[in-house]
Amino acid sequence: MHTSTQLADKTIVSISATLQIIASALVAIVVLYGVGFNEMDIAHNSAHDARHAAVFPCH
Amino acid sequence: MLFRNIMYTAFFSAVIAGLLLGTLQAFSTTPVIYSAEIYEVTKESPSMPNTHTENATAHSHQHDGEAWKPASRTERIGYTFLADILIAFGHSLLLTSFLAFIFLKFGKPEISWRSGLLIGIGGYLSFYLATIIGLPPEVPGTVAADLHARQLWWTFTIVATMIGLSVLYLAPTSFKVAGLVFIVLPHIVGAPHPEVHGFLNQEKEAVSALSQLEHQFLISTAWVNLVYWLALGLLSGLFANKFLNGNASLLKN
Repeated sequence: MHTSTQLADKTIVSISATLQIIASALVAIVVLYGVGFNEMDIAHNSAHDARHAAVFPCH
Repeated sequence: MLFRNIMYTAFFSAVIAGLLLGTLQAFSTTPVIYSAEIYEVTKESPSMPNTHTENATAHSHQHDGEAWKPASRTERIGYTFLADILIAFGHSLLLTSFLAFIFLKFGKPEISWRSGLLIGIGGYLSFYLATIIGLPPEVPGTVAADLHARQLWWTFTIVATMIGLSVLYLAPTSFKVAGLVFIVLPHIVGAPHPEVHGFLNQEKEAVSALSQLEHQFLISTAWVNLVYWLALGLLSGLFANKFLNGNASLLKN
């Protein structure tokens, strides 16, 4: 009984660690998309020089 | 909580590496961009050099200067710093997530500034070196292929290179060749290119100046991005070691 609870706990921890890592990678993609690819003028013009310097395709 | 600790790691790394990146750019890449903009052609006066460099110049595809843009040179540099910190935050989140993930799944490498530095080199290879093989760094006013096609190829190249490098690092020897396939694949597919390489402003003087600036831009982006990625990797490893330590031992069980 004790062992199975421990095993269950470990499984939950491991799944949730993977999910949390996936979640943080998704945040990364959203942020990079926003700064690098967003075509709204306000985003483009404020991030313009940074996009060119970090070699994001621009224009 | 792992998610929160990855965020902390990326935040602190991004503030430092982003400020470093912004400072380096202010003395290297940004002046090149400003110089290139002098030759930018506007809709009203095609082939007339635009000499209003004191203010940020709008690009020809932005509807006749009505769009918002930074009001002064200082403000413009400020926004570049902000964008750099955000880019660094995104990059560091990716690096840190990746470090945590391979440590979780493969039990190596130890999360430290050393593995951070290694993964920072991986970031430079994927985000900079692999992409400029197909799409060389561009100064404003360069003729280029369709933007969305380039964004697609650029993203594909980064993902494929990251997968390729990971396979090279993690897979058993006999599978490592698969890593090379991933790395080479985007270049076999080929980046979208315009029919002729050149500049929007076709005056002789402008072309020669822009060609020179383009070369200068290649050199400056190469070293600025290298310094940035090394610093970002090192900092991400360092802060991950601090913030994920508890999680690292938790992951190992």
